[in-house]
Amino acid sequence: MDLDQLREVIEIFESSSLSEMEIEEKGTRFRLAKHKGGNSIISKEENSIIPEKEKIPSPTRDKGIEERSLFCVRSPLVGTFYRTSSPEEEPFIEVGDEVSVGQTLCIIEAMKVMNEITSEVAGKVKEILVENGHPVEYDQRLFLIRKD
Amino acid sequence: MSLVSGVRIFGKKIYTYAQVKSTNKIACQLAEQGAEEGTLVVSEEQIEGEGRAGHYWFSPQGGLWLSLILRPPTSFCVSRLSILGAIGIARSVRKMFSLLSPRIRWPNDAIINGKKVGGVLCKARSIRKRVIFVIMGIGVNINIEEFPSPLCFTATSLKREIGHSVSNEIFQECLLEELERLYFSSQNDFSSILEEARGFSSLLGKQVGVQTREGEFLGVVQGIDEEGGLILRLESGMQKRISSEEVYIK
Repeated sequence: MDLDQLREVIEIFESSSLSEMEIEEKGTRFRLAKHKGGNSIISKEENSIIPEKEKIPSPTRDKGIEERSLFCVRSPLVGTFYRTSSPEEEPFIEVGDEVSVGQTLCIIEAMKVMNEITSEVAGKVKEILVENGHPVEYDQRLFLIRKD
Repeated sequence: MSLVSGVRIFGKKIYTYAQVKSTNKIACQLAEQGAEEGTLVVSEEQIEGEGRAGHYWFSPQGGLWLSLILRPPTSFCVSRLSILGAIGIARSVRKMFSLLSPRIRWPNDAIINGKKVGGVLCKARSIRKRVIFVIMGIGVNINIEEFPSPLCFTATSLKREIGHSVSNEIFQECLLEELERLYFSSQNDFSSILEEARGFSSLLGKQVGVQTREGEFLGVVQGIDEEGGLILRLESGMQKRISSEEVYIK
């Protein structure tokens, strides 16, 4: 795992509701944990793949930045998540797409009612967190959007 | 009929067309432009009628193809609208043709003698978790005489069932009246409407298959819960609630 990938993992962790997370790759294990006060720590075990001089930016400082720039779209209802309006159509959005306020992001079907979920913010789609056709729960995280 | 301030809302303003791609699409555009609740779009024919999941809805001349714009209050559960629409069709059929016994195939189809006579497709648009409008699309096979294969095995029309033509306008008027009554009364009392849905249900006690992402499973329909979900008893004896999966009679 390189530094950029690690930064990305930290970003996802920071914006999640998880309190702890461990990742192991090629003999190196990273453990991320949030302190009760909201600060985060990262520790690594065994052989580090990160050069000593490349200091990881402080997650504590990053958190404020991430909270301001990353927007999490959550499901307003229980249902089935669809990325397209029909199986033959292209997805409403892909990772990396720019979206505007009011743009349709997905459909959640419940009781044969197609609920179009639109974006509350303008920005770039950073991550799509649910696979097409999967069930979603109320308030489940659907997308991460980096706000303009 | 008059429900709010002495003025009927559903169909107070009607956009009528001879042919459109989809009444739902036009209604959606009108809603985006601020059209009022109850605005109706009707077409004699749709060339790209919308069914669920991109399925084509056969909608030639002779049927009733309409889309209604709704702007429900924040407290309203829009997932109920499919059932309300199906009950509206079933009530209208029963009111106009007492010899017919319309049923509902949960949650959004109206059937007669086991064949589909009408269906409902609702689309809700939300911003900031608040529903700003819903398009209730309804199709009723009124005077269609022939259905192409394979629809001929699963669909019917009022004309085929009763043996003579029916006025689209009179059925539309009856349907709007029933839909408006259901829509507003459900905002105060959904339980009695659910009871009506249970009475109309064609699935109660039947063994059904449910298609999910993981595959198919079987169960016997036990009822409809307070939110309108279908309750099944599985072969294992466990109960399972169905809300958006595809259900069919085995």
